[in-house]
Amino acid sequence: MGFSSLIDIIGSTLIGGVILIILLRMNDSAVENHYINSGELIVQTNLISVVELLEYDLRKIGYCKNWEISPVPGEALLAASDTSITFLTDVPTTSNQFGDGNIDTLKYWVGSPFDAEVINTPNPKDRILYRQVNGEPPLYSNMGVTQLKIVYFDALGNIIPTYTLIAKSASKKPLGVITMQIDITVENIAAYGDATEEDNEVYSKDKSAFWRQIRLAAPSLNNR
Amino acid sequence: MGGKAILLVVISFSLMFAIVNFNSQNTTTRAVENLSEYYSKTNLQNIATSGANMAANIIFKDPTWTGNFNHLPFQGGYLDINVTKFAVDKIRISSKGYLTGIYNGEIGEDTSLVKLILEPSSFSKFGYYSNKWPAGGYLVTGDTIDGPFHTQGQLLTLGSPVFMGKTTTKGGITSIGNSYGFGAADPKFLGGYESPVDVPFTLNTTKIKDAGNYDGKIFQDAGGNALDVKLVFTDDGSATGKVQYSTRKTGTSTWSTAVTAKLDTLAPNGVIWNTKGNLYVSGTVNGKYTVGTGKSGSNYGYVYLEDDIVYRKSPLISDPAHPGYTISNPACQDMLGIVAEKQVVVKDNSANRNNINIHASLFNFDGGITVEGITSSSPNMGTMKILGGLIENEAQTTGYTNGAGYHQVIKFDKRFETTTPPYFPATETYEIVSWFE
Repeated sequence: MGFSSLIDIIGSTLIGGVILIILLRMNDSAVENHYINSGELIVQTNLISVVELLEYDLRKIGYCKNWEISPVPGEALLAASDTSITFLTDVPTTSNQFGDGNIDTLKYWVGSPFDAEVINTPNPKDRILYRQVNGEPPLYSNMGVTQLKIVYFDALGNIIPTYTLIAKSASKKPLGVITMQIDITVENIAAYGDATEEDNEVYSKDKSAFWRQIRLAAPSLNNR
Repeated sequence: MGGKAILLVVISFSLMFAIVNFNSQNTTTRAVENLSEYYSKTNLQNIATSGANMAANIIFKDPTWTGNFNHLPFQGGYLDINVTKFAVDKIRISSKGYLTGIYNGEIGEDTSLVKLILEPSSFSKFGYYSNKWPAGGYLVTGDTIDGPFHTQGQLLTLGSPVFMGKTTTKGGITSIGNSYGFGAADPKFLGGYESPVDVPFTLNTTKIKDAGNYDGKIFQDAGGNALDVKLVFTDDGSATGKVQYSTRKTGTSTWSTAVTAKLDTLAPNGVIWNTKGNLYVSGTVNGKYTVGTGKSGSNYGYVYLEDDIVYRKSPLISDPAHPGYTISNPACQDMLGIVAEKQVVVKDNSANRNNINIHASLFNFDGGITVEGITSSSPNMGTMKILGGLIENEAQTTGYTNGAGYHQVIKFDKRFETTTPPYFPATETYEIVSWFE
């Protein structure tokens, strides 16, 4: 083996190494992109699932198949805060989409990022969205909700302060809510990569998804 | 050999990246599909809701309409609207929307259903209805209107009065504040506020008279003269009770000998109507009745309350869950509607000079409830407590701020939200009572 062969081997090794590094790098980028795309899909899917569920139930505030049981729609909203809402409705059953004709109490609320259910997830900000029918154990799933904010408006379109709503709820007075604004933010619960300083407010490299329903009016809340 | 190896490496990596690229694109496609599906569902829901609103609007304008729409093109989809009458006077609207979009990852057609029930609207559903709103008549901080409220005029508020039920006006609202110490303009509409809403003040005496003729009791002078009728309801412990009635020609002073009759035989359908003259009412009601009197020209048509007119048990009781609020008393099964083609008047007599209790929905077609001969010099008569509702053409005086007359308290009987006294005057329009979507 002559000197030129040695040069060939070293050169080939260098070029091969560079190509290998490039390929590994490309592979890494491809994997990262794939995960990020998947993460975005998961975030979008979770957001839409949460929104569809909320819209489906909130549209039925004050509704009852047997409407004479619930003659005062304005009193159907029992309690409200910026992170929870409790109302009377007639929850659809598997056998009857219009409900069973009995009034049910439905409650939605979000937990804390420090709850046991989410404390060990990689995302430090995710929290559980709970749904409870009557006194049954609440149903929940970690959909990556990091924000649920509800703003309430009276008949003239003025914002009702949360402390007023809470005080009225405690004394069981009608809350006077006619429309609502709902903000939801969903992030990936276990995304690719870690939060950086630039992403201070957002945990994952995957974009968070934000949804806002302006002036959701439950027709049965204000129909008579 | 080296060339082949390189070729294999290139092919392998190409394959690998092709797979990754395919997956990546697939993920992007699914993300778009996901949003598109939500968009399609939202549009679909809007189409069905719009159809329901369209049909309801037609019925509001023409209560006799029962038409249907089949495959009505709307917002890129189409609508099937079905209107059916059921249970004599109820209407069901079924609006089904169809839209082609992306559902479950595939292009296809889906449906959405909105279902409404409408019922005729009775005036008894109002806690307070005023056809005319007096100029300068402000509801002020501290005033609470219990139950649904409507005026055909313009509502005037000063400060922060509270409206417990749904509030509607035809003429809108003028809210002012920071005057006379009443605080900022901030009326509280706890059941919602809507304007303009037109609920014309009508009274079809033919309907109530027909009901009286059919299976109730009609008082009518054979010679066509005006007649005064006195009704004293008595509780005999039965389901329907009794009434003691007597008559006289209007303008005379001698009443006929009182006759006591069981109400289930005198007026099985619960309607007692004096076609022309005045009515004098008092007593304890058991059963469900509508009593009233018609007028002739501008005379007669007065219902005089001679004493308390109450149910056996109060229709409202204190809510143990929150003191200061009332709830319907489930033990109270009695119900009364008083219809005056002129107005309801509280007689100025000894029985009424120390409070008066009225359990009824009061309909005053040509005025409002007032007190006989009241002036600012009248004595203090205590409290006028109305547990039911007040429907009037225009508010009248029942008391003065110097204490003359009554201090008036009106509490809405929530049972009137869903039931009415028999043949009580109706608005002759429909209202939505149930909305499913």
